[in-house]
Amino acid sequence: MTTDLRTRLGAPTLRAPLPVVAPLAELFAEGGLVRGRTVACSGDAALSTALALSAAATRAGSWLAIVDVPALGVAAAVEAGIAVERIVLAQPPRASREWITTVAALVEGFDVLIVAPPASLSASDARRLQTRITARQAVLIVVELPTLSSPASSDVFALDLFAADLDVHADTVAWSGIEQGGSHITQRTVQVRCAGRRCASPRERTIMLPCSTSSGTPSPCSTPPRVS
Amino acid sequence: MLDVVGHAIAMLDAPTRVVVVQFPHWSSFASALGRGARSAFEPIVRAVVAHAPLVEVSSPGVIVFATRGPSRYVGGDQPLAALIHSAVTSAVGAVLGAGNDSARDASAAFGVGIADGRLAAGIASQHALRAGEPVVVPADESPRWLATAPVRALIDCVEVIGTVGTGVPGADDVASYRDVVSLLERLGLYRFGDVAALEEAHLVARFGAFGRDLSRLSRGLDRHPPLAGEPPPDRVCLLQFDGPVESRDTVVDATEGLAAQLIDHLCVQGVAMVRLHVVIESDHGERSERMWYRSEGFSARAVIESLRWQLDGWILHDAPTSGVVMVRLSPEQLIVNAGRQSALWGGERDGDRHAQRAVRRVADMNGADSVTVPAWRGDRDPARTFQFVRSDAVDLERRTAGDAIDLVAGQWRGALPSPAPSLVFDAAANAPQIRVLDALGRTVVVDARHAMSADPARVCIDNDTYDVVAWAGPWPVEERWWDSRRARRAVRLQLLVRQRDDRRGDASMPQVAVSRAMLAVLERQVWRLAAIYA
Repeated sequence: MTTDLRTRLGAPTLRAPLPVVAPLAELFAEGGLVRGRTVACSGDAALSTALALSAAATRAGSWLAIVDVPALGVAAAVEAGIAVERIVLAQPPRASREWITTVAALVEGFDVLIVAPPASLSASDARRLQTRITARQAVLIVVELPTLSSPASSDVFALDLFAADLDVHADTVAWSGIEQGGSHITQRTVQVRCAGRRCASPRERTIMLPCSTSSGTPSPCSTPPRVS
Repeated sequence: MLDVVGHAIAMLDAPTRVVVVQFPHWSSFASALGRGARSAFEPIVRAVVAHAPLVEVSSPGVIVFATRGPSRYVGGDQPLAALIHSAVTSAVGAVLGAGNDSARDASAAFGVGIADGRLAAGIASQHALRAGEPVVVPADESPRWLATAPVRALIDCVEVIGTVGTGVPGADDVASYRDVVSLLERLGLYRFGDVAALEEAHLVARFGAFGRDLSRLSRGLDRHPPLAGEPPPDRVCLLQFDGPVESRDTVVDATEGLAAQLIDHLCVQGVAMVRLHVVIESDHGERSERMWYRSEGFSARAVIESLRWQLDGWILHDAPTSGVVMVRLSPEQLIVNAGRQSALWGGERDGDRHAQRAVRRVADMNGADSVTVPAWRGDRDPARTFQFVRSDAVDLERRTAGDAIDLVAGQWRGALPSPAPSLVFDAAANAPQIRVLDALGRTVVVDARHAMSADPARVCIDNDTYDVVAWAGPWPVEERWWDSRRARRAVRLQLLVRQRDDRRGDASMPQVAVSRAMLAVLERQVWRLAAIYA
């Protein structure tokens, strides 16, 4: 009955969720990222978590667009297990209209988009982008980047402009290795909490970042390519 | 008889007298306004087009056109230069709007120069930029004037004369010009006159194809020699739609095939087009025509990119009252194809093809350098381990992991240990300056033996103060110690900080201790934020 309605309305047919690496997959009732949804990533480990969330999808052949994160540390993406040959970075103009036109064009070709929206973005433009995401069955991950200058509490976050389906909040609870002078950071323990309107009951997991990618398909890191 | 032919070729080879309008910092100006470089440049182009109908635009920030017609119309080169200068000034004012920011004004600085040949006119526009008024080099003095100009001026004229003929478009054009110029200077060739005195064959032997260009440019000629032999047959491409087409994407899509055919056709004949005339006409007879220039020759992509720019500007500013019925592409200047191989398209997977298409579209909209892909470079500096390559310089459909990473090379000695920070800042470019203080509020310094003056206690970023919870380091970074000019000596410090909370008395709010890990670099007595583990 529902499928019948779907075809009659011309709604997009449901496609399998995008895969997510093992420790993070448990956060989602569907076992992966449901296509057409918007995920808001916040907390101090927001960007690392967003990279970890999209890693398995890129290894399965999906393309990842990273918008407005000019300072991205690509090495961190490699460690997260992302297939770096399928990522593209875009720096659209910051004006709301031009920004949204650019990102909307990217949605046509990319399964996953990690975006750090400019503060100038208007709510209606954000909504338009989400409609596009739903229609194209892509996944939009909106990240909150650390603001260096202004304290976080007084700012209106561009994150709030999007009516996110899932809110993923990731806070580091422990940094191991670092002490008073010696050694260096060896691992990061992050508590990830997944809630939101498309999440029946909030789930919480404590994971290590970068996620170990021992299971599943080998990452490009474990099978280094031979370059002549 | 032979003399006559020789004379005719020399006549053909004489440089065109051109006007160059150049904004050296256009893209930073546009981004300060929060606009795309192209869409912000469009009003400037239109202001110039009002006086000279056929201008060439190769990149945002540079307009070039021949003086012949317009100069005769306004009564000489001087009045023409003054006219263009004032037209552009008022157009810049309109782009700036009411905001009267001096920093913006400075980055909107431009120069108008007139001389024989693109290079001479480009250098004239550089002079004009400094002088604040147009510079006109009289026709008979042009060669002598160029001969005394420093070869260093090449670096500032990249946008005008085009890229080095290496075949790879990318951000390194200026760098390769710098290399060429520095080599010329080390050889004792400081002025274009010195270079012009050398034999072309010697320059070709040293610099390859660019040597020929260099020789021609130094002698005051245009970079590309005119095509000898038979005049090229008419190769105008005309695309007529059955009915008016309202959507610009449809127009662009329909032209894509035509552009590819045109480029293929030229390629088979062994020629490439460097100048393209595009005419678009609406059902009600409205027209938009513009000249486009690519020093390295047009690819089918470049044709479409130009068409899209022209369409966008036309629709936005002239608001044609009806759909497009005709698009005409006419190659205006052909050169001998230097044998550049364009990438072969045709991927194996749908996803790759869709991504490629989306990237092209975005590159068409905002310029190819706004979309980049990472490529492994290898460096100790986390901000330089990967470089970002313009997406049009790589074939996305055939990209493999090996194009992006090279982990066979292993970890660099002195590279940052894992886990890697997710945000990195280049110390030479955009790394914010911070302060690292000890418990007494003094700046922490590191001596020659890499010992810190005191333990770090606080970090100030702008007006925020963070308490240092833990740290690791300092780690010395010494690069290229063998090269005194490029040597780099710095220390790194990994810091775990916690933001000071001034609202500590508020009991209703649960206090969450948010800690952040970051990497600070001390170089030349200045601490900078090098990376954040976000």
